[in-house]
Amino acid sequence: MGIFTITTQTLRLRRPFGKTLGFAVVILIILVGLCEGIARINFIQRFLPMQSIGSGHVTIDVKLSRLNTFVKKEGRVDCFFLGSSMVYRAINPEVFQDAYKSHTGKDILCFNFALGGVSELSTSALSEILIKLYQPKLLIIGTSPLNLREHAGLGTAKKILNNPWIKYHLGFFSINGWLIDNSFAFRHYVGFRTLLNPLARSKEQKKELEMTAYGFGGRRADKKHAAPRITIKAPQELEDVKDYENSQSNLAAIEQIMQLKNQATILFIEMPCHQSAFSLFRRGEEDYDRGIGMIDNAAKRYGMQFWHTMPFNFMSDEGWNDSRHMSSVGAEIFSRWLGETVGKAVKQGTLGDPTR
Amino acid sequence: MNITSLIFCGFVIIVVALYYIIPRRAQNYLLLTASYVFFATWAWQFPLILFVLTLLNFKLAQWLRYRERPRPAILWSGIGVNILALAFFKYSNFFVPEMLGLLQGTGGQSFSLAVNILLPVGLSYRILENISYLADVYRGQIPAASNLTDFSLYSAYFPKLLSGPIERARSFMPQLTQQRIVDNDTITRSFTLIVIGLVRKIVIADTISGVIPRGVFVTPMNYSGLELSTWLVAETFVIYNDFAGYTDIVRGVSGLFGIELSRNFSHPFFSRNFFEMWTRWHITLSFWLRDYIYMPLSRALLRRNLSSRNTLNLIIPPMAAMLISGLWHWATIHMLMWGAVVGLYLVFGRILSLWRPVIQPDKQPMWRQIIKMLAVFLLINLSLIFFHMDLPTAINFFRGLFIWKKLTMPDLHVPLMIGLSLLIDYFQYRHKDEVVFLRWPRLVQSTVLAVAILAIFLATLMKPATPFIYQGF
Repeated sequence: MGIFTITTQTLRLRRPFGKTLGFAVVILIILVGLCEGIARINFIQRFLPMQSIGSGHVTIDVKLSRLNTFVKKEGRVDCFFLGSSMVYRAINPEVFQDAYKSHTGKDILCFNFALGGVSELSTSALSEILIKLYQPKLLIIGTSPLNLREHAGLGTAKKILNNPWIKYHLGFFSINGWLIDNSFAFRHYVGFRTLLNPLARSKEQKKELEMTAYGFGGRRADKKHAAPRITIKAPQELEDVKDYENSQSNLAAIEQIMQLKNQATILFIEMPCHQSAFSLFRRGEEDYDRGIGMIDNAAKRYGMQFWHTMPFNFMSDEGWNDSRHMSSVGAEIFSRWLGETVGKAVKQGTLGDPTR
Repeated sequence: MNITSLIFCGFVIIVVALYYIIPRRAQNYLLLTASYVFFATWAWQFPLILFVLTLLNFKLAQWLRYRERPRPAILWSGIGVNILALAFFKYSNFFVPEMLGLLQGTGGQSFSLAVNILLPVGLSYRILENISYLADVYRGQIPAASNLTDFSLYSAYFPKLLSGPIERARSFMPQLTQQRIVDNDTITRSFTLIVIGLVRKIVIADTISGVIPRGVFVTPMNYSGLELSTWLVAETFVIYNDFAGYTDIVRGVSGLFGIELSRNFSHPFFSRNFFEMWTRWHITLSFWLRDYIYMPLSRALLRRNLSSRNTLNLIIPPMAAMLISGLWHWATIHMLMWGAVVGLYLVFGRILSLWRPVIQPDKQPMWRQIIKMLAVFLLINLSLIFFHMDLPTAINFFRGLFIWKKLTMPDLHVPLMIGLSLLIDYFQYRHKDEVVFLRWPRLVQSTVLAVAILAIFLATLMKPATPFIYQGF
């Protein structure tokens, strides 16, 4: 009797007990194993929702998916373009690669990992993670005084920085972050949850359609938003930029990226904007120049290169989708120039060879 | 210490383990100590307030029937003191700053008093329990408690401390004096309730509340009629699953100590009239209102006029009960409006029953039952508009319901989770058994349990559990 019961004054347990729970644990292990196994089969992945890290920023999921396919196909990635939507719309890696090759005779493999609506804060975190995961030789960071606003892209940046997977790679362990990093099934599950939101679903579909295999999202010059009609007078927007010079957090983030210089060659470039965007600043071009000066100073302190691209600010309206984003025509011109200039710099030895 | 946290889980495991080891006579002391420790984790002042109220009600009840003679003055003083305590702690943060503002304006004297009075969590529930205890002792339905430890445990018992269920002393106190046995069946039932509760709270309520836009009950003008209707229904399911989930968890936890707590929800959205609704939704509050507001008022009115068409009796008891329910939730105009609207539903129901023969809902054709369920659900949702927001916003919300400017696809989390909620309700309703799942074959039970554990785990990863809504009351 004694071995079949656990008895105290209150507790009267008869054996067998806990059988249902025991079976449930076994079923749970089988279920999880099955899901993970199935999610890892290439053929089945096509029918599953896109994998997601659950940051709430759809573009990052599409980019990661494209990047992983890219790396699987090419075997490596030499160079990343990082920044905000200004970079996403302006640098076409395919054009850049061609221009680079024509100058150096070498093949370079580049991927545009710029994200819309982000600030330098998240770009800094992503730079660190991409270097760690993909070991590129070159990082080209596009920045602009427009990104130095205190509130520029802050909401999205916070979302990205608070994401468990991002935190996990920045050294903050969590079960969630570990699962996203290691489990295909969990990433598909997070993707499925994203898909249940119709807004995220339509955004994802849009990004899927517009983004190339190199992470570039070109846009045609839209007549509705064509540059000559650009007049930015939204009070909130003006309010946001007037304190740009106080954005110590974004400047600090730029400096944080500069501190990664021992792990990869890092090149900062000024992302051009249409001249009408100067009106966003309280004192117009004068403030814009001051912003450029601040980045210049930081680059000098760290002994890094910061390339100015002022002439592109005065590119014809055809090259612009709106005041801050280039059209695919502008992107073609800018990417070619960038490829050629980087190629020249590598040839002259002022920039490390990213293909070596 | 939140009930869905791992800390609470650890706390329960320790208390349960000790509870099973120690002798029977020490168990109540253990539970009382654990309850005060649990309460102190919210704020160190709370146990002190609780102790003072407990002592006061314990003594008042003993004086109530001193020499077997009921003393109405003591009863009313007791009720008054409890209501004053509630008003002081619950509403002073609203009234005191306003009063100070007024005094500043008139007297010119400067008041730099820092007014910050903490509302002890679950105080509203304790006050209702205290009043019911005093009333029952006064009526001679139960004797006044002679053991302060037992009475303190009735008042402070940690599984019901935060948001009820509102227990009656007559059903709870006897459990404290008798031998409590926890066997296989009790443990299985308790764990099933805990799992159902966690699924309701973490998987259903928190998932839906995570997708409801924050502004929908603040600036409804920014949303279309379809969006407002969707989010209103979604929020109703959030409240239901949040509160029903909480009740299931605490009843399960209490079951591990061999103490049974009352059921608070019984698939309310399958109600076919409003009377039925209030016997299925927040049952312990509804029955409290019935026994201590509705029935005494109705009896008093019927003593004057026994006719079934006694107009005052048709209107006053349900209106009074529901208005008090509104005020109990919060002393605001919109809560009062909510009470008035649901009170009116009951009044109309009673008036209609005068002219039509009353047929038991179960005996009506199924199609009629379904139509009635939908009608009750729709009207309850409309009344909840006043529950969720202040009066001007509620008016805007009503206006917005009729502006169908754009058709947007709802977030699919909502129909999925509502479907799951209704599925659980359906199984429980059909078999008239809240742990119906225990009747299923073991393999099915284990599979469902495995899926439930996985769903709870995944939901927690996607969104950390939020505090229970009814903790705020």
